[in-house]
Order: sequence, then structure tokens, then C-alpha cells
Amino acid sequence: MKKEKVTRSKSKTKLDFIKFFVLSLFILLSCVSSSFAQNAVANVTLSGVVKDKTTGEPLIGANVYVAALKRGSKTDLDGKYSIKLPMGTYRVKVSYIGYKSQKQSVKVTDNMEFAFNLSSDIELHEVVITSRRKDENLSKVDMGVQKLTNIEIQKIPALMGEVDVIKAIQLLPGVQSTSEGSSGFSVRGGSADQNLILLDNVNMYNASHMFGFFSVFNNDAVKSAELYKGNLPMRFGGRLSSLLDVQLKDDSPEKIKGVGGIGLISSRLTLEGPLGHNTSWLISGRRSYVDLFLKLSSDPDMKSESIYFYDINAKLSHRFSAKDKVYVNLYSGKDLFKSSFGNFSYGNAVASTYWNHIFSEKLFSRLSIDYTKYHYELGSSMQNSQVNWKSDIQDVALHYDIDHALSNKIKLEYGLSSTYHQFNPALVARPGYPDYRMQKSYALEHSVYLGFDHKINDRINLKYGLRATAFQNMGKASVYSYDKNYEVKDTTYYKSGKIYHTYIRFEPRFGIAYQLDDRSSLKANYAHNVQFIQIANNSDSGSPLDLWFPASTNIKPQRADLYSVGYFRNFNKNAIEASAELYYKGMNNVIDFVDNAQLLLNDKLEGEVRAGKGKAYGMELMLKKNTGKLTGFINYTLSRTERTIPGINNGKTYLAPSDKTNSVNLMLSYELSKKWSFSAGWVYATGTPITYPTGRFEINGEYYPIYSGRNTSRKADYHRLDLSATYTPVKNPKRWYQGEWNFSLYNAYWHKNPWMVSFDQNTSNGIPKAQMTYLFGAIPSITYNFKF
Amino acid sequence: MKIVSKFSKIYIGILIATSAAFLGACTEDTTINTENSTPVPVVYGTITDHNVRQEIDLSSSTGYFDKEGNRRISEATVTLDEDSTGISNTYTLAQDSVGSGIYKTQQAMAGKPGWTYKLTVKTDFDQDGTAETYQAESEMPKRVNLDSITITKAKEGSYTLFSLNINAQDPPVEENYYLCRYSINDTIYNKISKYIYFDDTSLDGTYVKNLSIWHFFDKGDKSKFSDSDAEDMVFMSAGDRVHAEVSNITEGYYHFIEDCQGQKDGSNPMFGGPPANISTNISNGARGYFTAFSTSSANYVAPKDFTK
Repeated sequence: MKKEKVTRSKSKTKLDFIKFFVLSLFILLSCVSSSFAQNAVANVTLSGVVKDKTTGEPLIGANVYVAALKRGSKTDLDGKYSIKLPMGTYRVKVSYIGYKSQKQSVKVTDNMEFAFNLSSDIELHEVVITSRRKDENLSKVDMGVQKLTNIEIQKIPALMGEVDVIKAIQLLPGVQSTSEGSSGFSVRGGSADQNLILLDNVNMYNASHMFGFFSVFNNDAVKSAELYKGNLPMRFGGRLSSLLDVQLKDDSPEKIKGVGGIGLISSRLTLEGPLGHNTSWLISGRRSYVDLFLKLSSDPDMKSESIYFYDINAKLSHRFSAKDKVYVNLYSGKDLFKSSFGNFSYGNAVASTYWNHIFSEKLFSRLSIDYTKYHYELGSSMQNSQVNWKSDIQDVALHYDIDHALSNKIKLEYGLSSTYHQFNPALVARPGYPDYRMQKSYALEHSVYLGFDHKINDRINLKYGLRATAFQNMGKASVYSYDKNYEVKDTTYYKSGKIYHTYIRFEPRFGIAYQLDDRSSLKANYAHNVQFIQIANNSDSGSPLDLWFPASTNIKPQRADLYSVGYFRNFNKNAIEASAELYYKGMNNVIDFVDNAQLLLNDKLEGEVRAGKGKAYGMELMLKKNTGKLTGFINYTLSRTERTIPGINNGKTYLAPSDKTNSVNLMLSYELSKKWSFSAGWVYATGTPITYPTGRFEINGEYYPIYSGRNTSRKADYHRLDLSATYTPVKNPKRWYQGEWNFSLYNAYWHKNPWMVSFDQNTSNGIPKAQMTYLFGAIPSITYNFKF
Repeated sequence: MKIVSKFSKIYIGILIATSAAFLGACTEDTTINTENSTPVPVVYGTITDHNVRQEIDLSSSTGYFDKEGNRRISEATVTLDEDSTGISNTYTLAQDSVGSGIYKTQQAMAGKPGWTYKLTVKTDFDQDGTAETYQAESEMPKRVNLDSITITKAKEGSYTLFSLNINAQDPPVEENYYLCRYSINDTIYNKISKYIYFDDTSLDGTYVKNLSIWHFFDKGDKSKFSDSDAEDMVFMSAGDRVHAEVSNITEGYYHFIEDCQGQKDGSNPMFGGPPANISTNISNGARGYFTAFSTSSANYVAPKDFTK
């Protein structure tokens, strides 16, 4: 599939260049230069943007290297690089995996901008280049980070043809899905609410559709998804286990282009284009349509039923000066299940706007304001018992982040943020009776941070920093205090706006990367993470009835210490990456709920919570092949995660629900020809812990279970093979679009993986028997994708 | 508001079942290996205000998949104390037939609201030569008067449902917990899994008029359910005579019924918490429950016509 050739005229480039040059000069003259000039000879700064020649998309992490000075820079999130050097003429080499390297002679006489446009090295199917980590995976201090581009995500055979970002993340080492089909995931032994999920930097509280079978991210609109397994970047905090940073496409397309698909379950369309010279837009939508088939049914029940989900993303970016770019992002998504008895819906709404400002080549800032809401609603429409129950959580946040390059060796990042949280646990309305509203909670979370990215010498890179957060509970509130039996002892009332409790916590982070040679490195990282809000949801699977609740006078913030070391080795000129990482995570104040806890509609919820310690440790091995006809990865994780909480399991240590001793993920992709490519994925994991009865008692002819300990047994081991094939016909020059067919088979050898084990009584003798429910047999699917 | 969460559990269950059907989920019998814990005695008794020989059942727990039924406890001394201010009575219970495990008071007696009942069971359960003592205590809550019940017939989609509605006065101020047991024609549904239970969170001392506390499916719709589901459900038809007994129960017994219904068939990964032991108020490691409650009953005949 050929990319459209869009050539940029030389004169246009020159014009931009002149504009930038004049502006930078002006800025520099008007700034007091900071004291980091180390040489007697005047140093000037060469900077600019590295872009993909065809799409205009900035390339992040591209290498810009001046061999004569042994000095270089990597491009940042906007594709910008910046190198300080003495005036002179230099051969500058720019390289990036998947692109043809460029060598350019640049005469540097003063601070100046020089842009590079690289041509793609890839033909046709955009063969998997797992990431731009040419040697970046060796030199970058960050470990426990994994990035997937949308192209890689698309290669992974998908359930019912629905390509899914989160399912792809669940294949990474150290990541476990919490239940079959679920979007919930556990990273290095943490629980599903310990992951911060961002869509273009805005928090998404529940990233799943259809009870977790699909995620809210439309892969066509996604540029990349990056998972940080505990060592979060300094500007983020508030979650113990991970950060999943999903970035939407951010091209500056020169004409309208689109991509979409028609599948068995849903269809989707993504369009992006320019609006004048300085503005770009993106609109993306996806909707499922199983319910349309329901309407065709002759069964009157089915006719009135509805089951659908949709996502809409809209993004607008406007460059209003050479230094300023403004973005507006909107997202809305919803799931609806409706039957003659009632309905159930849930969804997210996100709105954000941010302003990127370049002060100079060394100083860059982003100011953002965002809003996020997760809501769900249950309604019963049965006569005589009509009831409607709504719940939601809303955040308004302000962030100000600065990237500041002090020198070639030290880069700073610092900033602050403030978030207002509003928790609305329940509003129940019943005709004929007064509304029942569970009291809302309000909280403020303020953070400041300062981080250093410090290149000590050619071999050693350090990254360290500190984040400080104040978490405040605000009225109006009636706060219960509990005695040692968790019974309410008294209530204190706070008026609206009154700050009645503050926690101040620090999150230090430290990491070091030691490059042994040009092919291997050793890394070590330490992070202390704190979490102030958590979910009251003790189901293992992706139930959408998430009830977020804040730390307070009765609930302390959770915290974790993560230690990790790793050895990274590349082979064959970085075509093959191998890594081995070990981690240990100690957690404190982790929560769980007492037996038979009443979580919903309970204003004394805090009395059901118990807090204690958690421990998780493991080893993650990964091998990845990035180039050639056969690409893919295989990883193996050996791990354990357990909890010890007084009041749970009689205070004895028990395995956390997502503990899987062994976990193997294999993903292979083979480009047979220009027309055909195939993928296969095989996953294997030890069965998750489960609590089975160790006895029974009988009352009035019915048998009831007796349990001796939590999670002392295991389900059967889980494994499954997924296959997919993609057929791309030769592009018909008369057609304005390019199509391709994708065939997939989920669970190809029909392995019955138990999802739920339940009990029933034999009809004949009433004696209990066990029953196993499995969700999926082998599921085939066909999708037609197109691009223009 | 427990009614809401209970109903939401019901129709969510229906919705899930429907979605599961779309996805091809399957349930089949399986064998799992479980360890067997040491047996414990199981004591179950409910003292009512009916003038009958009040009854306590004693049995032993056993391995979950044991092919034999649970063994009865035959060698036990059972006494029941009833106390009110200034008055105390003690009754001795005896097994009604050899090996039945059912212990009854010698004479008929009726429990009284406001009185405290204390049960003492002495038996050498672990056969070590010394008898162990198991005790429990419960007050009989105030009586609630059920004025009447009605059954209304409604259509939800293609299903016909019969709603059981009650008219009663909710005692003001205190938190009240209710049990409703029913029989249809002459079939008594006295299994805990069939009990209707609810609390008064949203009622707050009002007079409850036509409060729907349950819905029964119509026998005519039975074929719409799978055989195994239909087996566990209760169906009725127009013209059936319904007898309902409403009782004001203790909070502990309310949670016991809730736990039993929640734990009986194992936990659902989507909506339940992890499995947990059913609460008990019997001491010394035994299981089961002992409680007391009064009853108030009413009758109604399921109508043929739909209610508007």
C-alpha cells in the first residue's frame, strides 16, 4: 500500500526557516542567557524539527548527531531537537528507525533552526517497527516502559476483529488481564485501579466497553500507547502501578485523509484534515450495531432490547504563531444495555484544551485545562418498581508543565497541577418516594514536581526527581468516625467548601542507566508512588459499577516502593531487542473489603474497608524482533503478588486475584508478500487464584458452602491461540481509497478457559456439583478496512 | 436501599444472561478438587410466635461434594431459655424421632415479641470424651402488622409478571428488617433461597401501601428459561392462591439470609465479591443461625387481568 506522495515545496520550507530564524533571534536577544555556557568559545544553538516527509508528522526520539563533536540530541514530544555547539560547518546525521537516515551539511553561524524531513524506509504494509528505540532502549534511563505504535497494535489478532489498545498492552511482560475478555489489567502485581489511563493527557476512569471486552480507544485515531510499569514520568502521579499514556494522532495533514473499517461488531471512521494553513482537525467515531439485528427479530422481547456502544473523538489544533500551538480535545463514549425490564448505561466524557508554548529552544511549556467524567446509570422500568440510579465521578484539572534544557547534559522538567474531584456515589429516584441521594464527596489534589534527566558521561545517564502532593478533603460532608469494631461512633459535619483534612505526600524517583557497550546496558530504578483515590469494586472482572472513593480521615493514601533492575541487550544492529528485568514492589495501606461487604448504596462504605500490606515481585524476560519479514515478540513473566490485611482472611497472607505464576505471550507477524500477511498470538498463564468451598452445611434441604481461606485454589491454566490474516489487493488506480480484508480467529483451538466456577445442586439427589462457565469458543471474524 | 440493589441484581442478571447468549458463553458440569476442612456442628432454629413445638435442627458439616447427605447430630442436650424483665423460662428440647437431628420443645409454646431467646446445645461433637457447648441468643423484634397483600399482573416485554404487593405500617425511627415467606396454592416455599427479604431504608416509618416486594414469573413463560434455571424459579398462574407471611427480623438474620442467597451458587466475577463464609451467631466455631421472629399473614388470589 503506497503512501501518498505529498511534496513540500522548497520555497515553503525556506519561508518557515526564515520566520523561525528571525523569531528565535529576537527571543534570544531579549532573554538573559543562563549561565550554562561552559566553553570560552561562544556556543550557539542549532535546533529544529524532524518530521516524516510524507505525513508531516513530527518524529519523536529521532537522533540528531554531530559526529565531529560527538554531540547529539534526541527530538522531544514535538519532534524538536536542540544542540549547543561552537559556530562552524558540520555534517549533521539524522536517523530514526524505519526511515532513511539523512546526512546534511549545516553551516552554523548563530543560533538557528534547521528542519529535517525523513523519508520512510518502509514499503507497503508498514512492516512492524516496534519502536524508535534504536539504541534508545539502551541509553534511556526509563525502564519498565513499553511502547506500542498503532501499527503494531493493528497486527495483533483481535477478539471479533476489534483491534484493541488495551488487549495489546495485556500482552506485555509484567501485565496481566484481570479476567478473560476484561479491559482491567494488573501491572506488576497491582490492582486494576492502580493504573492511570490517559487519553491525550486526560484521565479516563473506565476505559472499557461491553464489560471490558473492548476498550474505549479507537485504534485508528491512536498514534501510540505507552505503558510505564511503575516508574511514572515526573509530571504524573497518583497511581501505584502504572501509567498507560494513549496519544491520539497529531499530524498536520495537508489534505483530508481517512481510515476506517466495517466489522462484524462495529464500524469506525477516522478523518483528519487541514483547516487553513495553521489548523488541523481530527474526527473519529465508532459504533457497534448488534442492536440493529435485534430490531429485525420477530421476538417482541428482542425487538425492545438494545445493546450498543459508541466512541467519538474530536481534536482540533491550531498553530497561532511560530511559538504557540493550541489544542482542543473532546471525547464522548457510552455503552447501553436495554431490555424490557430495564436499562444500564455507562460512559466517559472528556474535554481538554492545552497550549504548547516555546519560549526558546531550551524552554518549552504546556498549560492545560481538562475535564473528565465517568458515569453510569441503572434503571428498572418494571411496573410497580420503577427506579433509577445514577452515579458519577468528575474531575476538573489544571496542569502547567515545563521542559527546560539547562545544557546538553541536564534537562529539567518541572511544573504544578491542581485537580478538583467530585464523587457522586448515588442518586436514586423512585416515583412516589423522595429521591435518595448518597452524599457527594469533594477533594482537591495539588502537586508540584521537579525532575532531572542528567547525562553524567557517555556511559551513564541518571534520572531523578521529586513530586510533592497535597490531597485535601473538602465539605460539604458528614464524616463518620469508626470505633475499633468498624461501627460508627460519631459524625462530624463540615460546611460547603471547608477543607477538613489534608494529606501531604512525597514521591521521590531515581533511576540510572549504565551503558556497558553500544549493544547493552544495565539499569536500576526506584520509585515511591502514592495513590489517593481507589475503587470500591471487589469483582475480579470488568464490572462497570466502579465506585471511586477518596482517601480521608478514615482511609490513608496507599503507597508503594518499586525497585527494579534490568539488563538490556540488542542484537543485529538493534534489529533484535532482548531484556531481562527484575522487580520488587512493597505496598502499604493497600485496601480490600471485608467478607460480604456491601459496597453499593452504603454511606458507611469506609467501614467495609480494611488496609494492610502487599508484596509483589517477579522477573520479566522479553525478546523482540523488529525488522524483516518475520517480526514479533515473545515474553515470559514469573511473578507473585500477595496481600496481608488484618480483617481479611483472618489476617493470613493470601494471593491477590491477578496472581499468575507463569505467563507467556508470543506474537508473530509474517509478511508473505505485498498482498498477504499473517499473525499469530499465543498466550498462556497459570490459572488465577480462586476460593473453593472446603465444606458444606445443610438447611431445609439446601446446601451452603463453607470456606477455609481466600484464594487457596487455582483455576485451570489459561491458554489460547489467535490467528489472523490480512489480504491487501493491489490498489486500483481509479479508486480513491485502498481497502484490505482482515480475517481473524480468536481462540483457534477452542480451549475452554474457565471464566466462572459456580455451584448447583443435582436434580436427582440434591448433592452439590460444580459448573464451569467459559466465555468464548472459537470466534471467527471478518473486517474490511479502508484508507484514503 | 436494599430493594434497589436486589432488583438491580436480578435484571442485571437477565441482561448479562442475554449478552452472554450473544457471545456464546457456555456452562457445563465440571469436577474440581477441593480439600475438606474439619467438620463443624451446624445449628439452625427459628423461634416464631406460632403456638407450636418450637424446633432446632442439628447436623454436621461435611465435604462440599460428599455423596452422602450431612450427618445428623443425635446425642445432644438442647435447652431454650426465654427471658423478659423479671420473668425467665427454660425449656428442654428432645429429638422427635431417633436420629432425626430435629429437637423440639416438649409442649407447644409461642414466642413473644420483645422477649430474649437463648439457645444452648451441648454435645461431644469431636468425640473426645468432653461435651462442647454451643450457644446463641436472639431477641424477638416487635411485631409488624401486615394489613393485606395484593397481587397485580403486569406485562414486561413478552414476559408476564405477578407482583406481590404489601400494605403495612413501617415502625418509625428504628431500622427494620423484613422477611416474607410465601406459599402458592398449597406448596410452601420454606427454603432460604426462596425467602424475600428487604429493609426499610427508604420507607422511614411511613405507611407502606402496595409496595411491590417481589415479582413471580408466569407459568406460561416457563419454556423461555433454560431447564436448569426454571428448576430454581417459582412460577404462578392466574387464579393461584398466594399466602404471604411477613416478619420483622433481626439485622443479623437479615444478613444471614442475604449471605446464604449470595453464596449458595458461588460468586459471579462480575458482580459479586470473593466468596466468603456465611455469617453465623452460633458460638464456639459452629455454623448456622438462631433467631426469633413473629409473623403476620395475608392471602390473595392472583388475578386473571392485567393491572393498568
